[in-house]
Amino acid sequence: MDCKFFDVNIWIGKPMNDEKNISVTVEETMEKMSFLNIEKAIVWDISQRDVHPQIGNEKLIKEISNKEQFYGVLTLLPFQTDEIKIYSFKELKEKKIVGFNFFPKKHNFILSKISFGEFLAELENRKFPIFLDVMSGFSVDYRDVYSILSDFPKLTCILCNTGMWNTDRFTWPLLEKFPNVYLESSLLSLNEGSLEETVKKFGAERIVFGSGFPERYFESSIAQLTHAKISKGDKV
Amino acid sequence: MNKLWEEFLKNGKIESFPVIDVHCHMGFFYGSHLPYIEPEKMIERMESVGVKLCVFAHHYSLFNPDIGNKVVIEIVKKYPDKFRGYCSINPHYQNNIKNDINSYDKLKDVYVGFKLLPDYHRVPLSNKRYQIVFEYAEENKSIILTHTWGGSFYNGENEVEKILKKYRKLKLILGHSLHNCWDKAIEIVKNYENVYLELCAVIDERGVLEKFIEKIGSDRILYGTDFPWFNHHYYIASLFGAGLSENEIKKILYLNAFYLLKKYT
Ligand SMILES: [Zn+2]
Repeated sequence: MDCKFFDVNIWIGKPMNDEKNISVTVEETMEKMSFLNIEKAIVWDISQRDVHPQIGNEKLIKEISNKEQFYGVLTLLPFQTDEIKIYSFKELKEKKIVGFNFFPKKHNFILSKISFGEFLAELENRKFPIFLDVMSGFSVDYRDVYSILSDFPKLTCILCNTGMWNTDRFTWPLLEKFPNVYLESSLLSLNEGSLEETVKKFGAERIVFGSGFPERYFESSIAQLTHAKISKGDKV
Repeated sequence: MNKLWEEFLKNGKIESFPVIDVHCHMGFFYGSHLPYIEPEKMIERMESVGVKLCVFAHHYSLFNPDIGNKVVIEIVKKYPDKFRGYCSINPHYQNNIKNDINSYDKLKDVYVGFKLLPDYHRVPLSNKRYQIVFEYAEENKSIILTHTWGGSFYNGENEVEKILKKYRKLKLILGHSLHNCWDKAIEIVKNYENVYLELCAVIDERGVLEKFIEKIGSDRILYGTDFPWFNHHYYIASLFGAGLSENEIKKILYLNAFYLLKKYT
C-alpha cells in the first residue's frame, strides 16, 4: 500500500549538545521526507528548548514561512515574565502555528492551573492543541499530564515521545477519561503490540503518526505502521 | 540498499535471508504491559516479519526462582524450529545454578548458553556467585548474553572488562552494547576478540549504530530486540535508516548470529 504520511513529531535546527551527531539541515530533513512519502510535518526548532523560547519561536516562524510542507509549534513560558512575544490566534493561523509545547523541567517553571489557568482554559475552548513530551526529561512526566488534564479535561493534548518502555499503563487511563488526548505513534510503534492494541481498544482516531526524527529513524515508524495488524482504513 | 528497503517496506520482510534475534524474552513482565507474551503469538509475529529464530530468556526464569528454567525447556522442546533458550542465572540461588549446570549437558538441544541480568539481580558480574557459570561457559564454548549498561556498578564497562580479562576465550554478548558508553563498547570490541555488541535499546536512537559501523564494521554486531518488548519492523527498519549496506544488514540480521550459533541450531 502506498501510504502518505503526516508527521507530527520532528524537530529541526542544531541542539546545544549533539553528542551523537544526529542533527541534519532542514533541506536534508525535507529530502528524506519526500523520499519516504511524508508529505507534511509539524515541527519545532530545538533552539526553542536549548536557547530560549523567544529566540527559537521567531527562528521557527521564519523557517517554516516559505515551506509548504511544514507547520509549527511554539514554545511557551509563563506570561508573567514577559519574555516571549504573544500572538493572537489569527496571527498564529497566518504563521502556520498549530500548537504549543512546554519545557517546564528545562525552563524552570510549573505548568499548571496557577501559571497558565486562563490560557489553558481558552485553548480548551478553542480546541487548540498542546504537544507534551513525556520522555525527554525536559518537559513533563505522566504525573504532570494527569494533573493538567484533571484541571482541563477537554484540553486537546498530543502526547509525544510517550516512553521507551510500553506505556499503556500510563496512557490507556488517559485515553479512557479524556476525550481529546491523542498519542503520537513513534514509541507505540517501537513497543511490540502497543499500537495495535491501543487501536483495538480506543480506535485509530486517537493516534497521530510521528517519527521523533532526528532522534529516531523515520523508517522505523513508517515500516511498523505499514505492517501493523490494523485495518487499512485505520492506518489512513 | 534502496531495493532491499522497498522490498522490506512492501512485504514486511526480507525474502533473501532470514533474521535471527539473539536477545528475547517471554511471559509477563512486572515493569510494563507486554501484549504479546505467549509463544504462539510470538511465532505469528516472527513469521510476519521474517524472523526465523529467537533466542530467549524467559522472564519467569529470570525473576521467579520457583519456576526457573523449566519453562524454557518446555517451550523450546515444543517449538524447536522457532526458539532456543538461554539458561537464566539468578545469582541469589546457588543451588538452582548448580542444578542447571548439572543438567545443561543433557539440554544441548534447548540452550545455546546463559543469560545474566546483574542490574536487576544487583550482584556485580565479577562477583564469585557467577564464577561457576563463566568457567563452565568458557570450557564448554557456551555463549553468555549479559545485560550491560554504561556506568553501571553491576554490569558497566569496568565489570565487563574484569570478566574479559579473566576469561579470554569466553564468547560474550554485551546486551545493549554498554548503553550510552558507546566509545567504550567500541574499544572493548577492538581489544577482545570474542565479544559481540547487541543492538537492543541501541537502534531506537539515531547515531549509535552509524558510529559502530564506522569504527568496528558489522562483523561483531548482533540483532537483538528484547522481543516481545520491542517490535521487529521498527528495529529492522532502523538498519535501513542508518544507511547500512545490504551486506552489513545481512550480517547483522542473520550471518553473524548464524555462525555464532551454528553448533547449537
Ligand atoms: Zn533483555
